[in-house]
Amino acid sequence: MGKKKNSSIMKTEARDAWIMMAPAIIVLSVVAVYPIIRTVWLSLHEMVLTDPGSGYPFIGIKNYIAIFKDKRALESIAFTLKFTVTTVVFELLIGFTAALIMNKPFKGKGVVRAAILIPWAIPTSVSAMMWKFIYNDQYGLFNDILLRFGIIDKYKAWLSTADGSFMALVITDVWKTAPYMALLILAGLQMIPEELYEAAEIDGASVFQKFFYVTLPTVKTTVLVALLFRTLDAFRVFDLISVMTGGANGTESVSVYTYNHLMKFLDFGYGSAMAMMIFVVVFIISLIYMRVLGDQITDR
Amino acid sequence: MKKKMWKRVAALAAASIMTLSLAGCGSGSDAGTSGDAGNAENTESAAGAENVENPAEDTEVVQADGGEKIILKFSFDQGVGEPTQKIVDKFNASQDKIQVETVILPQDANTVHDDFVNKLASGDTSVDIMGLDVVYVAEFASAGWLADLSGYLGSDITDQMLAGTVEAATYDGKLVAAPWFTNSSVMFYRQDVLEELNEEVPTTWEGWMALADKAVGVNGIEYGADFQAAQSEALVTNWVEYVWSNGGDILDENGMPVINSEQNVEATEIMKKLVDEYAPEGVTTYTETESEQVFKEGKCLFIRDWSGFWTSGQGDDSKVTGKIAATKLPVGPSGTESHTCLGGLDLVVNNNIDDTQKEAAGEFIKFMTSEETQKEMTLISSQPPVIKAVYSDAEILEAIPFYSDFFGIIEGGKSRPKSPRYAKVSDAIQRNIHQAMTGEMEVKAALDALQAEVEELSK
Amino acid sequence: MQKKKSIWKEVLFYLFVCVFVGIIVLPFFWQFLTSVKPLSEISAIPAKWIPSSVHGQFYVNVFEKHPFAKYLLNSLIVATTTTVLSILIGASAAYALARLRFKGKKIMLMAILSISMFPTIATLSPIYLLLKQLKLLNKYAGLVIPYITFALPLAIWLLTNFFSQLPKGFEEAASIDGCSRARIFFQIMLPLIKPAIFSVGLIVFINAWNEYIYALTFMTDDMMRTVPVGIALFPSNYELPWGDMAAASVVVTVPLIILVLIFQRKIIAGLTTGGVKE
Repeated sequence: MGKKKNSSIMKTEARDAWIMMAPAIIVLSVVAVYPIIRTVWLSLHEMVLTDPGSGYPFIGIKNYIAIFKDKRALESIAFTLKFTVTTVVFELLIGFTAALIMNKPFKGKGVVRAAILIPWAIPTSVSAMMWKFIYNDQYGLFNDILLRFGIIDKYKAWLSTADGSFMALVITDVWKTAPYMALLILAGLQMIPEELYEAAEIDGASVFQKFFYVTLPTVKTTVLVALLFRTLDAFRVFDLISVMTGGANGTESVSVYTYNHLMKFLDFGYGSAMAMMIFVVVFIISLIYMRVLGDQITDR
Repeated sequence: MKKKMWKRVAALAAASIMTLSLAGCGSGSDAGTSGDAGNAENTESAAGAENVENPAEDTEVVQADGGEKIILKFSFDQGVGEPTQKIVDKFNASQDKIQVETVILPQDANTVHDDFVNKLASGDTSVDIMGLDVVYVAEFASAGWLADLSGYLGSDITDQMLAGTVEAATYDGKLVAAPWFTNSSVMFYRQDVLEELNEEVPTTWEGWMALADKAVGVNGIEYGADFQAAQSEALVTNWVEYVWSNGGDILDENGMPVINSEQNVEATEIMKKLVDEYAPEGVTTYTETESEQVFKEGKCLFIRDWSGFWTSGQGDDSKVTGKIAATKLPVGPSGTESHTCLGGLDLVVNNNIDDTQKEAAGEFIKFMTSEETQKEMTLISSQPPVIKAVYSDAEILEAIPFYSDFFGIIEGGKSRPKSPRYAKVSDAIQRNIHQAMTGEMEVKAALDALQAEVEELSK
Repeated sequence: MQKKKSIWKEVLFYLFVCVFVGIIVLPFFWQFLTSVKPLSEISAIPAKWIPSSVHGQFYVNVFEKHPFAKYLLNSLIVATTTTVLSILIGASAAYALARLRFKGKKIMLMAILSISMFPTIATLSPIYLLLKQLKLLNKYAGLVIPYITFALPLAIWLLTNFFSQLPKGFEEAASIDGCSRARIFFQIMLPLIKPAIFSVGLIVFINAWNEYIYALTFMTDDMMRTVPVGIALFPSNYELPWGDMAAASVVVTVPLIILVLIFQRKIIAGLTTGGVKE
């Protein structure tokens, strides 16, 4: 092929690419860009809605500086990171196991697949409340089961201590979102051509060898993308905490804290700066994933 | 290979037709059930078509049936949803100038607050009248969102109301809200247990603790106390009652915090003692629902709760029906008088709507605060009215006997600090007092920290 | 494989699956029990495993006390539309990102992703204003559009990933046959990633089905409410109708499970023998 022809193919290809992306770009920019710009703008102002007398002056990056002096903000970031790492690790382990099971041919596979999705199909507003009931110190299921198995000797108020609350939140979140991870990894597993396994079998590969040399490399990017989205979600955890502990016992997540400033204290300036802060942290996390993943996903 | 490919293509086509027809089906049957073809269009408009404008759907101003009515949108929460809807229907039937439409929100203090804030902060006029929790009145008024109601609600009306509720609805000398119904807490206790033990009803915290020591084990009692100490607004209402009933306060007359006073430390220590020795272990995770659940199971000697629990606590699912009585909250060792924390809802009017709408809203509010409506609302909702005369009404007393004592309790009630920054004050109280209750912090240290935080806010 | 070993293996495997599924399903099973228990046993202390009698009153309540059928219909319309649109728009963008050569791919991917990094609370009030301007409040489109924005980044990323896993050279062969880009996309590429489309579609559907805060804020007309908001409207002062709520959550979960069961028969069955094998 001549160079000229090649470059014209490239051009049509690029043109087609932009045409194909146009609907997505339009929809996203219509709804998503304005809120972001507005938040950036508000974050540069002193704007407490209950104090209109201030005239909402422009104060530059003062709100951002204030975050670094705000012990509570930093504590909430630390808690959120701890929560994110813990839940995502458990979700990965459980989700991967579930996906491997569902990918095996066995009787009742369809039922298992549907059953595993149940936690995720219950509306969050209901499931958070349901779990709060489950952890109740008087009539909670959690106490009942642990007591029957002899793991505890009397009912405990799980949500009244820092460790208990953290554990309860992690269990609930993992229970709720591991199916999501499982479903995505399953989709990745199903894209693996059977021939690869057959070939490995002919070569006499063990179960573990098959997993490490066939399964893992092929689903790696899928797992990373799933992890990326779960990390972003876990870092912004809000509903769960606000229903189950209300941020008590050191479980105030950064979204809950931001919410307090925006909606409770009506401090739109500082609250917006906190929202931008979340954005930046999440962006950094994404960059790290992107480092690992970037070339593979676009390399065509 | 080619054949295979076409098979696949056909399968996909079939699948996509299926999904599309699924969507079509959905909107089709929608038009069928609601008889409103307008809705069916909207699913398609998502695809980018701009056929959204549907004049028949816009509810503003003109009503089809005959004359022009002023449409008022009235938003409140499901907490009082059913009874309020009944009253609103009655209002709509009573005259032909104004049509009130209701927008009911979930019963969750945060949800309601946030929904109003989102609308009011953006200058929205889609809601005219709101049922607003009394603690947010100062906040909303200071943001300039509330219309001045002095013109519609003269002193002839407000004089008939409980003074505390009117005072709480006034901001900067203006009446920015109309008291709708109030709320006040009482001690509900197990009459059967007291009879069994042959004991008098205590009036002090020491008295209740001494009684609780004897009561455990009697008639299924396991816990000597039950209240709400989860990190939430419920904790604030509980805590201020210990403080007030021990002669303490949050702010002094000049609005300066006096939180770490001796009385307050003493009061908070009583509460802490109840948490540690008398209440269920999970009391620091309880809001109203959880605490009521345990009491209704018959396990607690008393519960501190809002007055409406009188009715709801003796329903089908309760094991204590017919066994409970109510009295006022006990006083602390340094206190002389018991003070309950006042709650309730006010009616407020969106400041952004035009004068005709405001005028109509004023009419509606007059109706809602009239003695007759208040009495009816009390009968169907068991929410305490704001019009004083209702408390001595014979019919009311027959339905809710303890209202004869209750009037005195409500009159002795106090309001939480009235400040545009109440949300911050409340947040500080919740965090520090909760830490004191769970033992994360010493009581004195927690109150010192709280004092410092509120001082910072009062600057 | 030897027979003896495999029987033991199978037993162990099924045992593991049973325990695993059991733990996952338990809370839902409890929820179901709650929905058929007599009222007085719901919060019995200690927890009651075998109800003394079984009844369906809570299910009747769900549909009689509330326009729950309408809530279900609204949710179905919004979630289905969101899913179909985001898959179509997302797949097309993903195909471009994964398989066409042009500059700025990574920046594009990052920009798309960053939209889903923004905290929802901060977007609520600006989107409300926007929808008000477009007169889309209380319209299905008023929910579908914001939902698409959170569904799209996910759909695009996942589908890009799956597209990029397909072996190279497909398009070249097809374009030599004279297929247009559109035909390549619709007739060759889309069918190839069916399993992924099914998974992504399910995720998008459930996300939209469960969304609460947008639905609450943008749909104020009771007849336009969706299921999660509808359920949140159950409790009133002094009454937490947990039986009704449990029944409602069973009612909304079961159709989803049936949907999964049906669709996997149709779509997932035999997919491993599908496209990638060439």
